[in-house]
Amino acid sequence: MIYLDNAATTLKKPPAVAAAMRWAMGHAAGAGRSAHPPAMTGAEILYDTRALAAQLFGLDDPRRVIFTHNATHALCLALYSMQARRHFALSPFEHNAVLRPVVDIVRRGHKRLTILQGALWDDARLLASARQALERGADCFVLCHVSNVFGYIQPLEALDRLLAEAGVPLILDASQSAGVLPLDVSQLPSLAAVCMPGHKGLYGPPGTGLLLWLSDDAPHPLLPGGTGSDSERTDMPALLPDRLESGTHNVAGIAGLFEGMKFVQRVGVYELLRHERALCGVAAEALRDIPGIVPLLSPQPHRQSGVLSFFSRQLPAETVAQRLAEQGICVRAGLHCAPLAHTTAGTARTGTVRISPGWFQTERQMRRFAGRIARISGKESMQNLE
Amino acid sequence: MKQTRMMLCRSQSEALLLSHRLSACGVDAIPVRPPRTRNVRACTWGLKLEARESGRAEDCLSDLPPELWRWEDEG
Repeated sequence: MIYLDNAATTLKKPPAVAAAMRWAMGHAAGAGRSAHPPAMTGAEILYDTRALAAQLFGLDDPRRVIFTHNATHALCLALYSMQARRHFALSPFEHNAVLRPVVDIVRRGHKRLTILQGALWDDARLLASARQALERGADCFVLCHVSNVFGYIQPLEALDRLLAEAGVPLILDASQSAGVLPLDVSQLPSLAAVCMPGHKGLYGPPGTGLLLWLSDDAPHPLLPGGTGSDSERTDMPALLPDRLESGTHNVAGIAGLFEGMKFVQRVGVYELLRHERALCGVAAEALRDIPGIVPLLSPQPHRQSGVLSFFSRQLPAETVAQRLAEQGICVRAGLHCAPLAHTTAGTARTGTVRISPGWFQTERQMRRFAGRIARISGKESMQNLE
Repeated sequence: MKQTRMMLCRSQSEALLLSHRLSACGVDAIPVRPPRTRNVRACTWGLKLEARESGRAEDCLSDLPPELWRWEDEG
């Protein structure tokens, strides 16, 4: 099998991830309530993971690291905490995990919504549109750091400067950048929240995610319940992380996430990114030579992460993915839950096939993948790619 | 027997934050669930440490917000 769907989930993990989960299942009980040894073991796992995440992303205070089920959960916590805002502005590459909750907030509260103008690989247009939105009163911005469809690295630092100057908060969807791009929240003063999954670039298990809550405002608890703190009160405690973490934690998953993040720290985000980009480069070079295949590549390679979309002029994206799946090659096809991004890039009609290699994929696998595409496209002469 | 003193804090996660801070300063502090009293509410967490380490502990935590902890014997 050749697995090229790491932008959805990194399937192969460092062995320590599963080992830590198994160990935690047998040794760590629910944290936050009791002081007996298994409960304290669980609590230490949570603390160590918070502290490591804080270190990786430049936070001083590990209490601002909130455990979530996934990035969608983290985004909903962040977005519903901003529901008092009057005018939301979204980048034109947002995933439905952002678009749907924002539309819900906007409809319920009769708010304004601006989808910023943009084009694939065009930072200047996005920033100009952001300036206009600010002038028109936008008071909460949301940006996906990296497009899940195209790997486009959006201009986070420039947008941050603009928003920080205006005193307007930014929610960052780091679903495709956490563990792949350097991210130091201490250098990005406009950030109110950063949301990320554990199971993608952080190499943790599914069912884990992180919210970094950076705003001084109290966040909105979407899921009220028991926290093991302030139990006499009927409302949720004000203190973090308890305010946003009710119920029993996924301690085993978090133990796995810790090992995933240790792996990222050990290898280093620059090396992980370099590897993924190199593999995409191998694929892109081969795809360019296949008639009817259109890879979507940034003219500035440093603006694209290790995610590559393409489409076939002859075959629907879903058919290409299905044929690949039948041959043991795992890619993703369609709209990737990001219709907005496709509309912006002009690929809404065709959709795209997306490949996203990870640390455990090889150049040889990329050549085999490209060879299969050539064959599917009816170009048997391209078999020498293999 | 060594004399001990109890720091009180609001949650287990804050107790662990403080105990790791203190540990980095060379002060051993054990997270415990203190019994409820007039001054100690349910779900309060405590850190038990040697009484003679009190001064060093206070210095170590001096940059943290004041609401994070208090001495049990100071009400």
